[in-house]
Amino acid sequence: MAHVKLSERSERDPGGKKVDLYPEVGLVRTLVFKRCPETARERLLPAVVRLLARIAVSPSKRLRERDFPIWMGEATNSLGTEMSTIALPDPIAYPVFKEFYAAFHGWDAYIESGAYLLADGGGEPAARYSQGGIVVYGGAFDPPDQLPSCLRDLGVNIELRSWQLQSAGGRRTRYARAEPPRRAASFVSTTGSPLDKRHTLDSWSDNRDIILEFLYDLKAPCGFKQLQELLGDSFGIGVALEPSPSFDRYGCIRLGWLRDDDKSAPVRILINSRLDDRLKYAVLAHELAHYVQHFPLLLTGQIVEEQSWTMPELEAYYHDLLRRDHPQLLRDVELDAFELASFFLIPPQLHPVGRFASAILERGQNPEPALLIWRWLQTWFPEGSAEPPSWSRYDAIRERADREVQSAMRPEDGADSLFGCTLAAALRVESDELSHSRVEGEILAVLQKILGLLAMTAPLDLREARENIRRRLSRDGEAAGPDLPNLDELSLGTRSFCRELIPPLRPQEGTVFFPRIPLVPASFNPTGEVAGDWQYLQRLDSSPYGTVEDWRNHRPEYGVVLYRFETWQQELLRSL
Amino acid sequence: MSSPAQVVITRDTFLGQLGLMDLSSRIRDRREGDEVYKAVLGFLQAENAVELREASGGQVRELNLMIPGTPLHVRLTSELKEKLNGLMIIALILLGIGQGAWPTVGTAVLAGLVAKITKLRKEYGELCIVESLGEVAKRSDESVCTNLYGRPCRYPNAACQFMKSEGQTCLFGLAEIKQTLTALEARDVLRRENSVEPFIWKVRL
Repeated sequence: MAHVKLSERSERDPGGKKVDLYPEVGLVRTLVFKRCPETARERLLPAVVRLLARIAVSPSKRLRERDFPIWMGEATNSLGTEMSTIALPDPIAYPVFKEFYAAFHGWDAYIESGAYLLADGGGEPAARYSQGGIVVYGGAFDPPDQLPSCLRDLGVNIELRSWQLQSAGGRRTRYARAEPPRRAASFVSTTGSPLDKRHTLDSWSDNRDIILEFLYDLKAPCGFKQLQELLGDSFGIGVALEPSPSFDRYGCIRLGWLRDDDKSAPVRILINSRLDDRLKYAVLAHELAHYVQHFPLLLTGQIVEEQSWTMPELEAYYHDLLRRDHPQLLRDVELDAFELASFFLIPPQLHPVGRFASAILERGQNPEPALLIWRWLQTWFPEGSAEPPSWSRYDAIRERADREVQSAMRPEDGADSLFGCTLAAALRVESDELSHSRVEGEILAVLQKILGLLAMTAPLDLREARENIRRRLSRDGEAAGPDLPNLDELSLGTRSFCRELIPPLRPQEGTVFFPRIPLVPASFNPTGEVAGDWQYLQRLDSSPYGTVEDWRNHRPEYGVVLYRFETWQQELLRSL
Repeated sequence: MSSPAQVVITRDTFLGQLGLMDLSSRIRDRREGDEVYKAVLGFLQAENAVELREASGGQVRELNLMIPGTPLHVRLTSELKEKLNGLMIIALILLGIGQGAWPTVGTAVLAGLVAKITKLRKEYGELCIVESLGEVAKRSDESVCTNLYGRPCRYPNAACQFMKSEGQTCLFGLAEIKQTLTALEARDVLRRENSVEPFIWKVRL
């Protein structure tokens, strides 16, 4: 049974004939001829029809009871040879191909047979053999009884139809099945609930190895949905789609609230729901790469966020630390993540791509690794207009690949799109071989500084601890006054996705930093309306309800920080 | 009344977000994609549908994959969606096989073309004809007819006079298509490239 499924259109064509719907076809079994008068369509088509008529009366059931299309076309190859082609589905039953080969390989104009792309041979449906019936395709406006003149005297019963290319409809999946991880991941859970999977530095250290093993076993990209399920089920990382218009990014990874005793926290990845599934996969891979490489940085950030409720200077100190001592850290963190994520699109087993390329010949030469990397990656970025493979467009495709590779290698050009960033990362991976995270040491240094500072201020009372941190904000021994000049540089944003910082009604004199009451919406205020009820985050069980104004009035010298629910949390609350 | 949907677009996502995904198979390379992006942005700005907002800040407890550059927020009203559909038809024609590479079209010209397209009537098959000119390799009467006849109706809710009610199939025949093409020529929407049949049609820029 040939793997080309034809169906019939419900409506006939304008000429009144039946219409066969053809799917898009890639490789076909092709007989190639030199183009000459002998292989003109008026000569080839009758020969094909005569052969089909012989098949129809063959004593062999294996040959006779078939349904397969025949394409014919003309093309000029890149060497300038003009060719005519006859093509059959690939794979095709051997007895059928044998008949075609026997009928045509003796022709003077015959060159060769092989599996080639239908588009490269210029093939269009010419005829169809269907369980003994013979169909020939004509123009949509031809009447059903008007056979082409070259077929009229054959004495064969032929049905004239027209054909239509059927759009693919649902996209065919090109994802591979991912093998489950070799070992169970570790995380902390007290309730056993699927939502209660928390991560510590220790469990992360185990998990990163398991994830890297999983990545090593990946044969091909496994797609967003499969990776999302795997992360939730096997690695305890929740992945949610975020449709909110205020989520103006591709995706993010964040930690949930830390538990006091073991400093464990849930890990959650949010992906912009409006992205194409292929982009979602690339973004999810990027965020997962952050988990694998940068969990301690996320943990540091979470500690800073929570400590800043009472010691707001810590947030400024943290930003200052990154800005002054590690100015490239956040940039390098992104480069790191792009590099690791590129393995989810070009699996490790294809690396080094140079070695893979050395086993391939294209026009007698090994393709450059960069060309293969571009070719593999471009299919995963829907708006970059993926170029279908084609020998006849080989030069144009190469030229385009060269241009885009050159562009990606110029940092000022490559950074304007996800494709550019991913291509640049994959090219770096190929040129550097696989290297360890470039920022691991720096991240641990940042974590140690923050933990060291907290340990040092722990015995102090709160006022002294805050004063101590404030003093550290000034580097050159100058007194850190209440009016720090560089607040903007320290990026003390007040509004971000699902977080809003509101200053106190009566700020303490002499400081620009204010402690804040952490609030989350009450379960009956899932969208987090300011006028609705909110609860104190740290004592959800016993917290009273109050509007934001109520809370501000309750402690006028405190600000509030509002943590709104992400969309999946809102939906969960509504469903309860 | 519900407020218009708001989407954030980038060079990576603008086709999908604005419902222009049909263009993706016609854009030949990223350079051409950049040109189309610029044209679409120019059009949206002329329509006052774009809002430049500072990217919302990140939090210390998260790592974000941010959209490069300033996020462009687009208010997608139903009127704008109609116009974007018109823009897509124009872009398909401009990117079409017969019309060469993406030309430099000024925003004003583009807006004028979109206005012309959005005035075409679905119920009389005018819009489908112009859409087809962007989809067929040879822009002749017969190609347009083959591209429409017997296929599912593109606008089944438009009460088109050529739709077969059962099965919602298009029965726009060659004779009616020829008449409609001539009428669109008279209204300055199309012009013939040649003088003798089969006529090849082009959208009047």
